[in-house]
Amino acid sequence: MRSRSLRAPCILRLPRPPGSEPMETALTAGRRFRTPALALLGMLVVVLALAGLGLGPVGIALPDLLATLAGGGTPAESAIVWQIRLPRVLLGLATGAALALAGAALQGVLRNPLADPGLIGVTGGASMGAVATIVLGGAVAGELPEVLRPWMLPIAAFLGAGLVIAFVFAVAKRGGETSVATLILAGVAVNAIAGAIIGALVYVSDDSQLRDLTFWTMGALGGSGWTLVLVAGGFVVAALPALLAKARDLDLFQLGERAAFHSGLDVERSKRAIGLATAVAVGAVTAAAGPIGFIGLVAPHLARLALGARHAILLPASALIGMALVLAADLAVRLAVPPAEPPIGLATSLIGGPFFLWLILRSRTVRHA
Amino acid sequence: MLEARDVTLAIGRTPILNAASLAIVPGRVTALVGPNGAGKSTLLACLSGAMVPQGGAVRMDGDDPARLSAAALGLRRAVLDQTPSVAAPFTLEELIELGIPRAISPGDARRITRDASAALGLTRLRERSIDALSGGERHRAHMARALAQLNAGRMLGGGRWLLLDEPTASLDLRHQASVMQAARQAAADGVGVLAVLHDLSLAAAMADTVAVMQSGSIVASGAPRACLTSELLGRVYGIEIAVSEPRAGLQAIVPIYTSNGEDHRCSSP
Repeated sequence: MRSRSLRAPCILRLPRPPGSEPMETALTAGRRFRTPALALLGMLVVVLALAGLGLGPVGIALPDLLATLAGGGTPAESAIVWQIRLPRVLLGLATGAALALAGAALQGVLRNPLADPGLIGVTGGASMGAVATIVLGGAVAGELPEVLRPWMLPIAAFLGAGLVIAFVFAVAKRGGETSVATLILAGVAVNAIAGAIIGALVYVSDDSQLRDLTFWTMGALGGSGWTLVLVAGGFVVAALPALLAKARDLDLFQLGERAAFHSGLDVERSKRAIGLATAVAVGAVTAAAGPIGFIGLVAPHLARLALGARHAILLPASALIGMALVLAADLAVRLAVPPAEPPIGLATSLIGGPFFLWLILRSRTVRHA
Repeated sequence: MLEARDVTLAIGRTPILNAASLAIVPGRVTALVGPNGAGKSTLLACLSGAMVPQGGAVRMDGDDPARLSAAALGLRRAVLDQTPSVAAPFTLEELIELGIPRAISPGDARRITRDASAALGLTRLRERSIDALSGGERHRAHMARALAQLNAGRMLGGGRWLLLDEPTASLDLRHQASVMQAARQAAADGVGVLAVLHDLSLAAAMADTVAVMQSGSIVASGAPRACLTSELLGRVYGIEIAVSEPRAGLQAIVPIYTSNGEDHRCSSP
């Protein structure tokens, strides 16, 4: 038990009534309700998506909303739903699913519940790519044909994210195994470097770029426009099945890299595939919505607490919870002080920061129990 | 045959294996014994394909394990590491199933899992979370996982080798026996078993062949009774070791400690 300091179970174990059989914890109980739980989460996402389409400064009742989605409705409602709210909700779904799955996959590979695309620098790398495009891309964009321009931002963000993932995993490799502590420290260093580069880019940007950047760095689902949403969504749709297909690999990673290899897993190849899919997904949604923190940390945790540790269920559950969290956070910022809209990143960080602290404190009490 | 021939390996400048040669034979249990740091685990890692020696050769059924894919190796051999662990609160059943490749049907996987937990006396605990198990139970759970992988491999035309690194280290006497019996049963089914053991009496009782390792080389190998002599063991371990006469097929092999006093009472309230 002593040597388990950096590992998941310390944090995930639930309190047990003293003297009782180590019986039905929420973990084992949750297993029995897996399929209904997924269906329930799916319904929650649908409800939140409909709320996201219907609620706002202009409320649209459900029958009108459905009519509008079916192609009818008044011109005003149609414009609000199709031009403003639908791309926003779709981006919310893509962002939630991408960040949550990336978090679940990274936590799985690293056997560590604190791994989050934000913490290990992946989001920072994506931001660096995106900010560089916003500030410096104008010159290049002029040369590009119209069709390619919306791709610049997601691709730059993906390259930034991919670069960071490759870098931190390479730095953390010790004697054939990935050292989680080194990887997280490397992520801290990368975040600092990315922050400095972003700062330098902000410094040289002009006034209009500065305003764009400020709002972008706080994260926002609105105002991205259909083209960027579709491009980012396309990246996410390509990456998500690749991550969902890694459920067994991620289960095996829980044994440690050596034992996973013994059980027949090509560890390096699997890590590369997961790293690539993570970089694509995180890069795309970061480009479109800005760096939104903590979804990748919170969603997999809630999924694990409710439904157990097997990735075959954990991955889809994390994705659904991530979508629900992002949609709920977006609703919250939209409805808080209408018609003003605080950035969604504020809401996720307000929830995520305390949650992260709670995780750390909890792991400490359990370890000393 | 699973064989290491004159295998040499150094980590940095520290030589770990020095022309070590060892052959594992199907249907037999081979015990690998020797002091800490003799290179036993490294030799096992070379045989399993996890490490690649710098000199000499390893052959698994004629193939170099370093050239086989992880998946192909996983079908041919199962390995129990010295300090197995799992970072997620799986149930015991889920842990055992991890060893079973997807090519096995769910029905067969369930049967293999049931058999493996029964072999290690874990049937009662199948639904429990790994976190709720004792250290010994957890170690047996990982042994059951290795057995399940081996038996799944057998169904797919492999399952030839079982490599165990100190499988009994954290277990009480009864469960040492259950683990070694599971290993013997695998050997009876035609599997070649290698077990790194520290308990020399257990090695003498359970192994068909014993290999004694010292400073990266195999210094003796053969029948336990012929190899595990007081004289050889004393030289290898650097401490006086007593080897009893065999009684009912068993031998006690123990170090000769200096006595700590004269109190011979034992109270049992």
